[in-house]
Amino acid sequence: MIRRIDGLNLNPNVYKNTNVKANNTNLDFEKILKESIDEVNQLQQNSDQATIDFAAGKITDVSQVTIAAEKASLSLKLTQEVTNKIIDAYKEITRMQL
Amino acid sequence: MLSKKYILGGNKMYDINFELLPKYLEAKNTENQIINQNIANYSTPGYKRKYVNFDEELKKALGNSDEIKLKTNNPSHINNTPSLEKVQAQIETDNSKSERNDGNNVDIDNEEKNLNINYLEYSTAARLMTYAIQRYNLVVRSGK
Amino acid sequence: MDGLFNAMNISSSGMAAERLRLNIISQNLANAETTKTDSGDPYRRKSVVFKEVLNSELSGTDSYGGVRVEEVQEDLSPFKIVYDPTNPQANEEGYVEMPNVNVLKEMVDMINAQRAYELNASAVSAAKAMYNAGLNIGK
Repeated sequence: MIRRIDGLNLNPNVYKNTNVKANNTNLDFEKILKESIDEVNQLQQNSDQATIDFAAGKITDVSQVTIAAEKASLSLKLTQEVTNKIIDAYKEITRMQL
Repeated sequence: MLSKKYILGGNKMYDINFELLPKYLEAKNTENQIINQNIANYSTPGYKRKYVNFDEELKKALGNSDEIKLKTNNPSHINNTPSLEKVQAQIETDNSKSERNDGNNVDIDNEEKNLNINYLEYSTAARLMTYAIQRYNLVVRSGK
Repeated sequence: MDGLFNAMNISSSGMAAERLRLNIISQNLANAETTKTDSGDPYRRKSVVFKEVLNSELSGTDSYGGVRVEEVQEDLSPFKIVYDPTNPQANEEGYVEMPNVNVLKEMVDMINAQRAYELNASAVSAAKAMYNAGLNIGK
């Protein structure tokens, strides 16, 4: 039984709400980036503090140290990915306008 | 001022991962040799065990403050808190009396415990250094 | 290259020394009843003398060289005199001179030597593992 493929049912009203910040697109990206970078910095500081605590003999469970380090590392990678994607998006957009 | 520290982003992070950790690793390496010397001389008449004084000194230097004090002319010197720069692994001899007839005061169980702990401490610090290096690699490589 | 592997060298020297000690203990035990040796006397207990190895020309931990057996000594304590007229070595009164080996003491020494040997072996493994951990930093 073959289903009939309906034509693309593009209802402009569906997309109305997602266009809310069309005028503030730049600021939105900035905000995303800033929040990401803030989080990265915080997690790196946490990891560095865990390292100090380890060296000072204050850590009771080694996973505290490894988890903090992994979190810092992962958030850094994630932010990098986000940044790259944003830059790629910008590049595409600027190319389109020509 | 394009010093290594400046480029690698932030004094504190650099100091923790590229000053503190290498120093810690070296101290643990020294300690390892001392522990091995004790174990090798377990049967040597008159031998007194040696140990490395580092952990306590480091703990004092890191203290309860968040600031790592690297300069020698910092206020904490007045409080008798050693600055991190000055913390070194010192080899000391434990001259306590032994219970054995031959004057040897090596407690083999204690040395075995120390051996295991020392290895784990070293491995952990090595792992943390690796994390830090990988983080810096990410940052360095991301500058396209 | 030795500075790199000093920890291993130290523990290897410990293994070698304890192994020699074990050999001597075995010899003592094997000869605990030997009433006549080539010299005519009963077997005399042997013991090893350990000495710490320190290289004063080197600085820091490089100066620590572990341990070595300085000499194998003969125990000069007197032979045991046992009343045993049936023994072919017995004198007119029926007394025999027996080796000055105390079997129980030798057994205790053997256990200690074995424990020390094994711990030195563990230390060699740990040194190797630590070397690798250092080698792999960053990977």
